[in-house]
Amino acid sequence: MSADDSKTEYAILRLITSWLPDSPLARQYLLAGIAIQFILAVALVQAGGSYSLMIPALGTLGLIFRWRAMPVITLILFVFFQLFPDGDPYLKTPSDIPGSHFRMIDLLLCGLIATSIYCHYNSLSLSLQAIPDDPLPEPGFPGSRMKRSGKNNLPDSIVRPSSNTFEREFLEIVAMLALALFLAQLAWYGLTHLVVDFQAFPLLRWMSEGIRSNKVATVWPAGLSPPMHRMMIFAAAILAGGFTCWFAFWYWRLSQLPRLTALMIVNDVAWKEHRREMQRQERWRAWASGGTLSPSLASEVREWLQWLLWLVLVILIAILVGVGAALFRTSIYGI
Amino acid sequence: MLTARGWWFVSTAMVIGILGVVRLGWWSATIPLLGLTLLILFFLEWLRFAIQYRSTTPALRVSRQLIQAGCESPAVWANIPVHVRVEITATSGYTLPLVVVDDIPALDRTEDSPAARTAGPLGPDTPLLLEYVTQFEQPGLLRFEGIQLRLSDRCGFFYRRLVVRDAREWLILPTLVSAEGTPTGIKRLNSMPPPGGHRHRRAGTGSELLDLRDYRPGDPPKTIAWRASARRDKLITREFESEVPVRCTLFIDATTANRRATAGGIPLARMAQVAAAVAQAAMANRDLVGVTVYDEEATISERPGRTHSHLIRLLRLLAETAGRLPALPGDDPVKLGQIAFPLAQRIYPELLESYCNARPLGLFWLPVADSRLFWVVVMLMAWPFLAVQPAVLELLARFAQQLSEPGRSWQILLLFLVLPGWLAAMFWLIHGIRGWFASRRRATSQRKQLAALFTVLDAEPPLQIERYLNDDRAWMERCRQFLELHRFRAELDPRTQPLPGNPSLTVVEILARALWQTAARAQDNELYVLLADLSEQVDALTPVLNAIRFARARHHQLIVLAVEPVPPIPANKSRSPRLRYLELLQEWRYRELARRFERLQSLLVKAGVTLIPLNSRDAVPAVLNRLDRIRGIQVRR
Repeated sequence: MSADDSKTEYAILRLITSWLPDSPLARQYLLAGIAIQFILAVALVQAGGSYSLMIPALGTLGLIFRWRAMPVITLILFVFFQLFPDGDPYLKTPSDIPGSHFRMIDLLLCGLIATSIYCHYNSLSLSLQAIPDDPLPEPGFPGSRMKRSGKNNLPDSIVRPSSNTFEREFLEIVAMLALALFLAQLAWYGLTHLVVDFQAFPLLRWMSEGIRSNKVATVWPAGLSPPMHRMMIFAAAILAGGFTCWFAFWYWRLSQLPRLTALMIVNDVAWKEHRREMQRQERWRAWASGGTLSPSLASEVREWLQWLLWLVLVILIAILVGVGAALFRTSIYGI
Repeated sequence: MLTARGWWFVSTAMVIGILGVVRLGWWSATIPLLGLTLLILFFLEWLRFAIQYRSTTPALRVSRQLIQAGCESPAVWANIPVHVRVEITATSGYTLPLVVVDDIPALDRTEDSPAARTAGPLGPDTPLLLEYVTQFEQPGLLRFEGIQLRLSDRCGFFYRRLVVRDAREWLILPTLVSAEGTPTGIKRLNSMPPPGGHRHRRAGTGSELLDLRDYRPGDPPKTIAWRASARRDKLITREFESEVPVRCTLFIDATTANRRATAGGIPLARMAQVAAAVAQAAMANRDLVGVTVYDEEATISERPGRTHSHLIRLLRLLAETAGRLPALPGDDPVKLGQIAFPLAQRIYPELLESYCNARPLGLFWLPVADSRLFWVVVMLMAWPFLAVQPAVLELLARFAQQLSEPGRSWQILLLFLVLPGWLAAMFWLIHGIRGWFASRRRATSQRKQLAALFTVLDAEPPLQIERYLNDDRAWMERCRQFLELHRFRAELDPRTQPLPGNPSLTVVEILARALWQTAARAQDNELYVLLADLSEQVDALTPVLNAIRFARARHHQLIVLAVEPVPPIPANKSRSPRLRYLELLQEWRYRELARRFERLQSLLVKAGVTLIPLNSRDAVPAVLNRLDRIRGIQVRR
């Protein structure tokens, strides 16, 4: 093989692989994402609805061209085609809540969608941008004259450096996903089998089969509809989980406060408690020692005049709006 | 803190979750399941990031090294590349997947610092190394505040920013060997001069004959000139010339005007460079060099010497002198706060967060009693008390009767009585709420947060916060200290350089006194080099000229290396009348300073002193040539 042939081959190879990112880890995520999109396509075909093949097609394009908005668009499209498999909003399918727990197709679809989104975001972090840009320093500080580049007039983006940890990371994602799927199924089971009962403690009880089959709101506990029950339990679960986490991390942060931060908190609390007394004392002390640089009377009067001018302007605008509205009313209704 | 990516993801998942749970689950249970799965995944990701962040950040350690010529040094040389090496280690905790490390550049350096950044995972087994090469053009003091870390998870949903403070200072010494201090020609005499000696026409113990005189009892016999004694028939003694080392004293003007950056650089840094070059070249010839640094407040002197340790001392003094910062604008408390706050945000971000440094709404209320216009409120409030006087009430009632229809005058009277009170209340309200609006609110907020920060840094009680909030002078003083500690260099807009004002008698007198003292202490003729900006002081130069004449009378030699006025930046066709006005002022400033510089030149020439512009390349060779002349040899430079 001549040198020219090898050069041509190399150029063709480069052309073919030019869409692949430079980072090896990003390439692995990209290829894994594309593979998952193919599996998703098969699963969607199995689940019915050929229009929904648009989702893996767009997802693959988003992965290849690194479109940042594609995960969100994929999610919205997925929800739309789940609701209307034929793309027609007027064709509604009946409820499948009663038999919707731990079905393989749900697990598969949710798992594939979530993994493809994770692959997409990891690929973006490794090849496009991993961290938001910091605002530039104030004028007069070093770095404020930093040259900006790129079409968006932004500094060069930071990407996550590549490493040889794809297998470990991917396994972690899969493990976390399995846990999330299991917990989501449990949560959904709980949401569809629990009802709020304000007369019971702890305000929740298992729904009997009789109640579940009766869809009239008035016979449900507390006179609430089933969606309201689910909504209240869902909101309460989020609030309870959020508060628990907040409390745990608040205590953890408190237990490892640095010295200066702890001192700052103590000082700030003491200042807030006594600031009125201290303010009175310090104001007189500063006045007596000549430490207060009061603005001149002229500047105070000038500022007041500016305020009055604004006030008059606002009143005038209000009057004009009122008069305009009255005239409009007269011209339309003749009253 | 969520990134934009995180917000989009969690919002979409939340909408899908809520809609799925409440409504859409009726049609397809996959939707609520997907929403719940995504929300739980997001929660797990957050939990992992939060645990990694909380467990790793308290155990972060930073070590910084400045490496020059292959070894770590406590001081670095200017104009020689420096290898900065920062190692960040986490002594415990988990591995953070992505940490971006940015070095916080020294605030007073005028050079454009390189983008010092590294990124990667950080954990107990994976330290991060930040390395870059930089070069400092000006001597001075270098202060690194620490490093800024930005942490993120693998998907880029969460983001935290923190600063690991590790304040360290290095001296940037003037360059050890300067090109302009090195002889470019060949010495005419192919012999090293005696160690620092030059002939001094005064009786001493040298080897050159100075004079013959009559013998006095006590003269050593070896000094008797036997041949002359035989001719004159009486004892005659030989007197020899004195051989003393060449001494050179450098006077450096470290006043505020020379610390500001101009179009030609920072004059004080240039002075330090010239002084260092002179000192090194002179000491290489075994001459003695001393330095006197003076400013508006004090004088620091280093007596002439020629040892290696003396040279190091001189270089340290010169580096510290070059590192002095110009005075900060000090008459506006709001402006100082505006300068100090971004600096505090950069170095102490966690101490300015609301949970530990609060700004309650009541803080922004402006009490009318603090204003001079308070008396307007008092008078308006006092009006009803005045109006209930029978005579005033009668007058008002009569006036109201004239204004209104019969029987309704009480309404007008009531208005007369109530309106002032209502106006006073409105005045009080509007005066107070002005503090809640943008610019004033920002200024108050910055001042309170900085006051709390200063109080904590000084380990003062909370009372000090109120002191800084109410006492403008104490506040400005502390702000200045803070900015100076962190080496903030306040640079003026080139278009608003101060116009030449009246000469500062203090500076002139300090220089004259230093010159008098040095000349009076000198035992033999020396060379004095004045590195100063004397253009502004030209109309009050008499004390300095007197000191120069005194030094000249004692056979000392002087050279003045003066700061030459720099022409303003050419106007770039600015159409704004204000900018054009400023440019015209600067042009006038330059012409005025150039005129004064010429006058200074003529005054010094009359006094027999050479004046050389400081920025000229001849500055160092001229001083060395003069030293050579004093020593008695000629070297072409």
